[in-house]
Amino acid sequence: MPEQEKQQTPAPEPEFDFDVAQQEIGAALAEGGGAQAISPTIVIPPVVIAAVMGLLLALVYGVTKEPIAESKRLDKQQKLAQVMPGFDNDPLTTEVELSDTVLGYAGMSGADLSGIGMTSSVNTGYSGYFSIVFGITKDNTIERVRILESFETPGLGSKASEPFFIDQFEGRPAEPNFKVAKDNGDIDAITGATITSRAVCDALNAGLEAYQAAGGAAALAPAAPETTAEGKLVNPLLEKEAEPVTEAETAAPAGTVVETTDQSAGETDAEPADVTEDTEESEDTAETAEPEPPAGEETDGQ
Amino acid sequence: MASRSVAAEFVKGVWKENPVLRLLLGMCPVLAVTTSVENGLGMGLAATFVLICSNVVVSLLRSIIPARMRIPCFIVVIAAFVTIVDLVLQGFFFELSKSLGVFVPLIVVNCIILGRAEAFAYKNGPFYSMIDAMGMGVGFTLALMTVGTVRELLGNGTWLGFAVPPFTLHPWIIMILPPGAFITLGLLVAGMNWLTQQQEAKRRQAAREARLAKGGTA
Repeated sequence: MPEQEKQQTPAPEPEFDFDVAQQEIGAALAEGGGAQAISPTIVIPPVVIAAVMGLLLALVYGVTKEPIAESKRLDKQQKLAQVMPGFDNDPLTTEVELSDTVLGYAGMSGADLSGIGMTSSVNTGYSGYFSIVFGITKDNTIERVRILESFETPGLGSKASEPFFIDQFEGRPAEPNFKVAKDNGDIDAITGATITSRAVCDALNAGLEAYQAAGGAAALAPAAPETTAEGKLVNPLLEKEAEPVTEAETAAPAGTVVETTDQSAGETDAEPADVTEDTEESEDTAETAEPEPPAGEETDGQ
Repeated sequence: MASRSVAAEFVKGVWKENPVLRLLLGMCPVLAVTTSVENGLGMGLAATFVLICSNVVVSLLRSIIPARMRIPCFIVVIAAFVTIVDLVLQGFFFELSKSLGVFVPLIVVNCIILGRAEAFAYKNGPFYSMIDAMGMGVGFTLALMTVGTVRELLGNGTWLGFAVPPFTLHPWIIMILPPGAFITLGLLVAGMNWLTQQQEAKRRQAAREARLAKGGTA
């Protein structure tokens, strides 16, 4: 062993000497290699190729940008239609952000809330990002779950979208306590893809937690009572802030209310319109009192 | 490149110089993607498309690409085409793009494409480069599908998604997992080598017999 050490220690010295290496490189460059390396004939073609390819990419990006957004929107719409109980509105127009990763959508049947659709994403998939879409019925059970976007291993994690796994969530109470069997839950994980199975449960739990924290279906329905209720919550806060913002903020949700109720029922039409005017007029005065009566009325209706 | 027929250039990529089973190139997608035949087919076709585009473009640009800067140039061309394929798939073939998922961006690191640009397209005209790309692409796709077939049949009991009765009884999960890919690929490469050796031996035997028949020495 000592002999080996003796042999090893002197070795590194000649192995790499920075000054020597620099001199060698300098010499090599001086010999002509360097002159060639900087010559325009070697620099220009790659630059031109990169520029042309960059332009081409910009062009293709521009052409495909709209179709990509459109197909993603259609996919979401289609998936929402699969998971939400019967509705006749366009849920995408009712989008409400419940948390950074959870979006809620209301399904309306006429003027009534028929069910809730939600998307939820987590980063605990086998390949990170993993998002699902699911529907909640009026009696607070899971209508259906579908995978929205995932990058799971094909043949293993990708099986999460197959009926044998994803259908087991149907009809269960919408409570954020889904766990795979391995974690003492009652969801059968996919063989060889426990992490993916867990991610589905995680996403579902995260979505349901945000849903419950927001106050359940009432927080999501786009109908007049909910938005006015929201307005009721928002306005006192905004009063403390700058006044002009209040005007814009109150106008925006009210506008959407009118839109959605227009489609569903003429009866409710008048009320939110009134509310809108009221809140806009009575900015400086006590606003909280105004929206309350319609809010009470309509929640009763539901 | 003695016999320079179009057919020979094409068949070369499928059998004699099959990129996966003979040249052992592009192992990463072969191991990662082939959990099912469908994935293999999708990856194979997408890679073939990029291969054809990049081979033709590299071949057309070969006179202006300086030798010392060729690799960066190749990569830029390949990466651009991969991105184009990805965007077009997402925009106009959304379902297909979802099933191919992350594999499309991975084509850029497929060394078959860089390999063909370097070994063939940079030295040959656009037409032959295209034929070479098609042959290599088909060879790659067939190899992916072969590995995919073995893995999907044994690991999942299906072929292209259809249940195949005797295999459905007891699927071996390991065949779908990464070890299954290595085992399958190893056996296939071994089988391919054995076949080539057999052929070579036969050819030598025939040549020796011919010499003997002429009265020469063995």
